[in-house]
Amino acid sequence: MKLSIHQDEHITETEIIINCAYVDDRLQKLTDYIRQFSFSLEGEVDGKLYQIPVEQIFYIESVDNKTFIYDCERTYSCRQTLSALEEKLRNMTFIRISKSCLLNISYLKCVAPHVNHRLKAELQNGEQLIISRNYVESLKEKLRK
Amino acid sequence: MKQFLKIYLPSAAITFSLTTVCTCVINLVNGFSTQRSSWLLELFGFILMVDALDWILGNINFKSFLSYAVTEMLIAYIGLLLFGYFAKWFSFFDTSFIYATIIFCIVFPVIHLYFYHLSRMNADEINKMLEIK
Repeated sequence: MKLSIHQDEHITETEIIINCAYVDDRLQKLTDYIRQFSFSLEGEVDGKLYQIPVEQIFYIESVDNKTFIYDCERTYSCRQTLSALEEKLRNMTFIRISKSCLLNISYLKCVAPHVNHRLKAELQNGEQLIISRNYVESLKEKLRK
Repeated sequence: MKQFLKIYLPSAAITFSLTTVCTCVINLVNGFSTQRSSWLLELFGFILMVDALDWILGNINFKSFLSYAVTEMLIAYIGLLLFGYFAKWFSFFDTSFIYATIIFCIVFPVIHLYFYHLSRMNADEINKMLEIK
């Protein structure tokens, strides 16, 4: 695979073009990863709206029918439901790990056994989340891709 | 080893348990071996109670797997003593109580170790995939 970068200060919008004979699994994985850099979610803090780049989101959680987005700096509230966000982020590095949580596996550091057949996920920033037993297999499937 | 733990062992345990329960019910209905069949069904009831306890404790945030296992073991043991007293499984004043305690102290940790090992296998598999990424 050859990589070439053309830098020009007159270019207003970054564009990535991939020339290939066919799109194999590796290339699909690469394009899914790149795609999330062009995608952002809207979040709110103290009445102010922010566009949160998807690649900076650690995880998204639903609590008391409200959705919250967590990045390294802040916690944002989001008007969309967890299911709607799950659908939007389906082809990216996000996976549902419990009824109320979507995890960005790019920030998943490691997992360890936890009580009641669940797993404890440790993120790059040290935070810990619980992976329900029903979602362990789908997490493995996502990591295999 | 993985296949044995995930498939054959649970399969043998479920088959044995279901066969035992069904046989006991049939025996009781027909009036055969009523005392033994009653005891086996009471034991099955006790096992279901421990499963319910496991489910309840799963909703509590324990600091470690060990604290969760020890707490559950203590509560289940109290349950065993109560079952033993009311269902007359053993007497507290002879060796049958000691044997019941010994069996409990063997079976309970084995079950927990089995499920911990399964979780450990899952965690190791995922951690390996994360390392490759």
